[in-house]
Amino acid sequence: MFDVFKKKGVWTLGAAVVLLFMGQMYLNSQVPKGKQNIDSVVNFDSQGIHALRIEKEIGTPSRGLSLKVVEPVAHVSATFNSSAYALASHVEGDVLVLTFNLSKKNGKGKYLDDPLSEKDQVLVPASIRDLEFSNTGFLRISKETPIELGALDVRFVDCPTNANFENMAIDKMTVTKHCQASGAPSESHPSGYIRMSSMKIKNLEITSASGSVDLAESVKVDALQLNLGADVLLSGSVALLRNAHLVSVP
Amino acid sequence: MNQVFDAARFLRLLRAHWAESWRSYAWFFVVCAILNGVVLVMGLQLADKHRYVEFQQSTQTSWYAFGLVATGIVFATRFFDNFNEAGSTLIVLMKPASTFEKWCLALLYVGMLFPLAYTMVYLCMNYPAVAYAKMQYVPPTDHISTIPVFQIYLPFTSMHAESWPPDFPEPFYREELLFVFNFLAGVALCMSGRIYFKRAAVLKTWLLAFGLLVFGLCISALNGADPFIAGQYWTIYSEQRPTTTMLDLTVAYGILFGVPMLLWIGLYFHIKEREVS
Repeated sequence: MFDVFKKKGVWTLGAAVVLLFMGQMYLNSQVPKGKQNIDSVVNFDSQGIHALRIEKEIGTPSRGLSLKVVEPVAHVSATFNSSAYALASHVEGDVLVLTFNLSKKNGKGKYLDDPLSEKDQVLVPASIRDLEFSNTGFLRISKETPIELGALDVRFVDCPTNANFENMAIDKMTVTKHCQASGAPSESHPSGYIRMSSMKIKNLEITSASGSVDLAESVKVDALQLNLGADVLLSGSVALLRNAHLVSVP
Repeated sequence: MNQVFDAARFLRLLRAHWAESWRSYAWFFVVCAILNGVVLVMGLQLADKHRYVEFQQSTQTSWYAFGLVATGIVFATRFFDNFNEAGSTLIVLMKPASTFEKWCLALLYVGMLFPLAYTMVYLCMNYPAVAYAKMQYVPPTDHISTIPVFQIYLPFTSMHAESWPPDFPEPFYREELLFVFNFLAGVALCMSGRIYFKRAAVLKTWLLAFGLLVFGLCISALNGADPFIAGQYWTIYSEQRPTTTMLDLTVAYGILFGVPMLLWIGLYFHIKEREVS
């Protein structure tokens, strides 16, 4: 029976198991346990985003800081069937400015699935191509389009407005949305959403008075400032977030 | 003649093994190809044409990895199939080659040639399937959907689909190397079990592996620890690692390199001890 202990093969297997388990236990012992609230970086008043709690899960470094909505005060449906839309944009220096406007131009709405006229075409730096529009009030930047920007400034004029941003690397990005949708947020009157995925942003500032902000796990931000209205639903998580600052919009 | 390793003798062993086994290997890959083909056809027929998730890069990557592990375990277990019976074991052990040469043969076939052959089969079948899915793809009217990335996965050359723009390339190198180490450890354990256990070897090896897994998970659960933390030191860039002292890195890399290495050394001893007994 004890012949098994005379075999070098068994001892070697045992050594591998011991190395695996002891090593893992040692590495785990080096990582602080538990969750740590970092409310200290959250700054909001009594009217602010009381439903939001921020937790940093220490010991899960790949996820960095997670943003979780504990009690969402508003639910915004993703369905939105606005047809009339207009987009105006221009470049200020090396900054691309996109301006969304729900109001119709001269009584004739710009349908986003229509080809943009030469006049309406977006002036973009050479590194931006293939802006994609759908007919539902939605901006998406093609996933197959390599986009790298020094700065991107997005301004929403009217609500509801939806925008998706994908696969961009930006040094500084600001998204501003002061508009409020008329009526309470609901599936029939959504306030629009801002969604980001697969982004690498050094400095991101989002100001949104309505709707929802969804930052997918693939969004990597060095410094984030969120200025959110009380009804704004914040969801998703931001990976590799190093410095977050949240304030409420009065 | 060198008693540990002689190139001419090793080549003769290679030729003999190939002559004995090429038919069974060919059938093995034919079966793998048929299974893969069935799954491909089902995927093409049943998939949502607005998404074709099965043929996007992320799924193809998982497809490749799962297939390699599943078939690799079977291949590794069958590699020392002759140890099943006393008579055939004797024939294997009496081959005119050293233990080290037999060990090298296993490393060459299971650790190198098998992944290459599997990759070739995967490429030959999945590349046209992905291209076909790309042609059949119907863009959705749903404005929320993201644009699919129809790409086949090719080890050590594919770039992560989410790494666009290309100025921020994110290859799979770290994950791929981690996968290679784990694959080598897994197949070494399978072959060791096949040689060590004289009866019901496959079942006992699986029970051993399952027992180790459950034991490890239980320890981690009791301590609230991450059972896969060592991999993070390899796959995650240094500034995001939980801790980065030299001792931590030594332990983490010791696990990554050491465990597969010890299991392969163990395999050598298992072959040698079987010859002695």
